[in-house]
Amino acid sequence: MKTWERALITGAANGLGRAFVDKLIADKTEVFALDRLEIDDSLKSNRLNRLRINLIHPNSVNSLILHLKNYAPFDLIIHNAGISATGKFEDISPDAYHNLIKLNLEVPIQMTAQMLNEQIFAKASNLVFISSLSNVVGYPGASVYAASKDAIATYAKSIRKSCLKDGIYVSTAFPGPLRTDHAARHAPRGASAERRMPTELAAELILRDVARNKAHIYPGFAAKASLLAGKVTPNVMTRLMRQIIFEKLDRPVW
Amino acid sequence: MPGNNRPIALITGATAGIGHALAHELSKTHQLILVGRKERGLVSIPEGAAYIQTDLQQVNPALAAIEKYLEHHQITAIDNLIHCAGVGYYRDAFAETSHQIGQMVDVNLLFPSLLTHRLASHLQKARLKNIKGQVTFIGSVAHNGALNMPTYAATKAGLNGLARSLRSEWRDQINVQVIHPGPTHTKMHGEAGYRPGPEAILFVPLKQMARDIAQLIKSNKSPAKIFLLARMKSLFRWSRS
Repeated sequence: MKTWERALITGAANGLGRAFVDKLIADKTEVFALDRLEIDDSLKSNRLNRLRINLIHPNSVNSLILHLKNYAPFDLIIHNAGISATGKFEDISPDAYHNLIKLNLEVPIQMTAQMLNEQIFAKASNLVFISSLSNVVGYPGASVYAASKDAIATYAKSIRKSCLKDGIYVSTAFPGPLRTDHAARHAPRGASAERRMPTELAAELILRDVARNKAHIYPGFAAKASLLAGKVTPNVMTRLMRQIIFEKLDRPVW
Repeated sequence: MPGNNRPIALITGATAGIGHALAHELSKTHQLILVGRKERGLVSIPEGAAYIQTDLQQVNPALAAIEKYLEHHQITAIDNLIHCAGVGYYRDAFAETSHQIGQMVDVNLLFPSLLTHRLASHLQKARLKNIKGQVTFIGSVAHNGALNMPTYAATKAGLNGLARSLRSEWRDQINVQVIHPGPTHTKMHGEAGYRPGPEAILFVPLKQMARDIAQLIKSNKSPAKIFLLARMKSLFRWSRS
């Protein structure tokens, strides 16, 4: 499998982001790991560079890109940072929606536009966006989250050709539910973590397809099956999601 | 507005393009509350329509301005909320500026989400028996991706995703739909930095677009696309007159 020299991962403290960091470090990639939370460095790896930044704050994207210029070029960027808001649409705080749209959609776009212009990317590099399986099945109970994930998928699709001219391969991953604290917080009460994919596996499957420069990545059999079902009977899938998620959510969470 | 039994439609982006044409189309059947950026004196609005001047780029002040208007006029129910306001820039991924990106995300996606959220209780109160309140998002065929309008396309995909999930959530209470117009004869292209070439022959005239949108609002179809068929219909109309 292709390996990378220098990677940037956002949302790297926990969950899928952390799994990307661990896998890449094991593959001897120099990793710049970014999060608003403290990133654990118990392994004391000299390949891990930790950046503690809240990307929602004004000017943080500008400062970040200026900082990254000192270490460029990067040959792998993964826009993984993201938050959710689940519950009845009208019960969720508007500030939560503001932060969600900013972090899940605007930040990756702002970062990408600036990185493209500041020559942060190496030749033959990979740029990865994390969307969601909700893109194919819908997500009643997390409508604005679904909006943000559909939006980032279309952004990635729209820039793919332009980026290819500069030797940048754009990939979008559409993972299903993952075994993370984030997923547990937003899942309906009583939902089993067992059915969610471990992040180590998700990270491995996604990176494998990124290495192949794949445009759309559906990690695992369940994700691929949902893709097929979502294409064939999209309304049925959305109705199903309503039953298994929205109708079982007992409180808003953000 | 006491004594008037027509349904109330609140339309954003009502001073230009599709929103403006739609306002004129719906003035036949609805009481109108129109929202736009331009000064009242510079805008032609249908007789009897109310007008709230506010800049949606200032998201929170705009929400407050609309809420203040509704409170002041004791309007507690809205039958149709129609999101037409939108900003676009015809530039590829390398050329979009930070300001433009922020503007498109705020006006095209964040504001419609927050306004829908703010007016949820107004929409829940049906003014006419057995007819539900309805939210209509005006998207774009660009929601499937557009090389030269990546952020614009993204925000329209966002509206599509929002409408899909919210329509399911609210299915028993409020109708939610998204309509995706194809290229239309408006000033938006010029303002976005795009000079149409011979392909402009395919663009749908505004009046036809507004008619089709009004029809789709009645039928609550979602998602709906208005493109070549509308163009053909308008050609037929022209040749008949």
